[in-house]
Amino acid sequence: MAKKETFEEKLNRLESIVESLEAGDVELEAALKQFEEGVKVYRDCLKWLDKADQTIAKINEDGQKEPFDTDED
Amino acid sequence: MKLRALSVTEITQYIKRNLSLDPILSNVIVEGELSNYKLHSSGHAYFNLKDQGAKIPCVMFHRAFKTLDFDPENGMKLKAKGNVSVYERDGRYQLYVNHMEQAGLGDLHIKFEKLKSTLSEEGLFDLDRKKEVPRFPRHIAVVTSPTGAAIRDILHVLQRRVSYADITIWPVRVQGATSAQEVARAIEGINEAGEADVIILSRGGGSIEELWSFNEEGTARAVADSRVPIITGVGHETDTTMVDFISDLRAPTPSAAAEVVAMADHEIDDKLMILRSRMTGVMESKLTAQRNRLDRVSPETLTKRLIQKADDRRMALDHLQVRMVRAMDVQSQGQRKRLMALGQMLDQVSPLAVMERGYGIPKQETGEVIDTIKKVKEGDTIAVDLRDGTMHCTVNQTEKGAEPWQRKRRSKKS
Repeated sequence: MAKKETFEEKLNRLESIVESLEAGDVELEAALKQFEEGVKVYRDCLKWLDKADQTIAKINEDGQKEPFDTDED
Repeated sequence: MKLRALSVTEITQYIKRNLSLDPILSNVIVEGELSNYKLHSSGHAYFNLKDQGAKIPCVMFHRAFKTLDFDPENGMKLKAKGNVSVYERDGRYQLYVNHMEQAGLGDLHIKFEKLKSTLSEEGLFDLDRKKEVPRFPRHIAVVTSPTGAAIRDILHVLQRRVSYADITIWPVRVQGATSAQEVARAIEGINEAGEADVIILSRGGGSIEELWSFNEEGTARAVADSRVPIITGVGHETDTTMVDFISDLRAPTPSAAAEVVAMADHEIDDKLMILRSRMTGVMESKLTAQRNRLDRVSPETLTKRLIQKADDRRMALDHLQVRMVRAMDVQSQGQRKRLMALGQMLDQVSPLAVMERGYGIPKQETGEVIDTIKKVKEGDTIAVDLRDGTMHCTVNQTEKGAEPWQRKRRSKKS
């Protein structure tokens, strides 16, 4: 299974694109390409964050996961 | 019987006095197990210290009791310092405690330091052993009691801050005989399950005994062996347990562990926004720079620059002209002055000027100037030029006279 890029990797990619652009030694055409990729990664990151839906579980005595009721106590 | 009967009070006071005179009983430390502990509403504490063979009733008055840095519980091994005296009303002796500490404490500290130096020598505290803690864990495993304050604090923080991380609680006892083993097994289980990106190992504050399972070798080694990074948040800020030295990140409290385990949603939002604005900022300035470069070579700019150049030249020319004219003016004025001066000089030597003053110039008819009488004889016709015309005359007579310069000299002498 091809490893899916993690959010951390995405964010690192975005950071390195921004830094490369800021370094200023990129030709306009290459810079535009990088910019395009940066915008795409940026959108990916936002989407990832929007889609997030936290679950809370507990390992029971049989070593199995069961939902954990946070209002329990 | 010679003996005199003493009253109960008398004999009791006698015993009390004797006890108080005893150098040992008046200042003694007693070690034993706490039992029958009662904290009275007055703030005084009543309890027994006991061992297998005996027990001694104790009292600790409010003023001494409030200086204790722990809450006594039945079963604790304690060292109590004070004096033995008699409580007259009940007719019993008891230990009046003015200070108390946990007897096992010294032992535990020694054990702690010993294990610490062993683990340290093995390199388990080395910074380069520490695993990198992910900034954005998708899955957080929490090893703690499912009913304690710690899990409540942790969940509270995580639910508020982080929406993208799933949480699995691995319930363990966080104190007592089986605690260390349960914690170690949970950490192994998490590693086997291979789901979590990071582990929070936590419990709320407590006495050194209560925190002890986090100081045990088994727990410490389980933390060291974990492939999944571990953040510890054990006790309060001031508590430092063995696992804190070994974990990959130490947070001072359970809540703090939950704060540092993952970047909050709003922090990510901010970060993304900053990255985006940096990115667009760079692109905008890059495009502006390119546009400016283009503008520099556009026909409009080139024409403008040519015109500008021509204008510059024209201005230079104008300037030169002005300078030239000015120079010419200066020069011609000088020449005019010289001309006038020359004219005046000419005027002064001109015969015309002399004639203006009434002199005449005699000439032969031929036009030759007659400057001596030798050039004429009686009867000659001569012409005399005057200021306004010519006078034709006949010479009647010539008479030789003194030279003009002699006359001049003479007149000077006179």
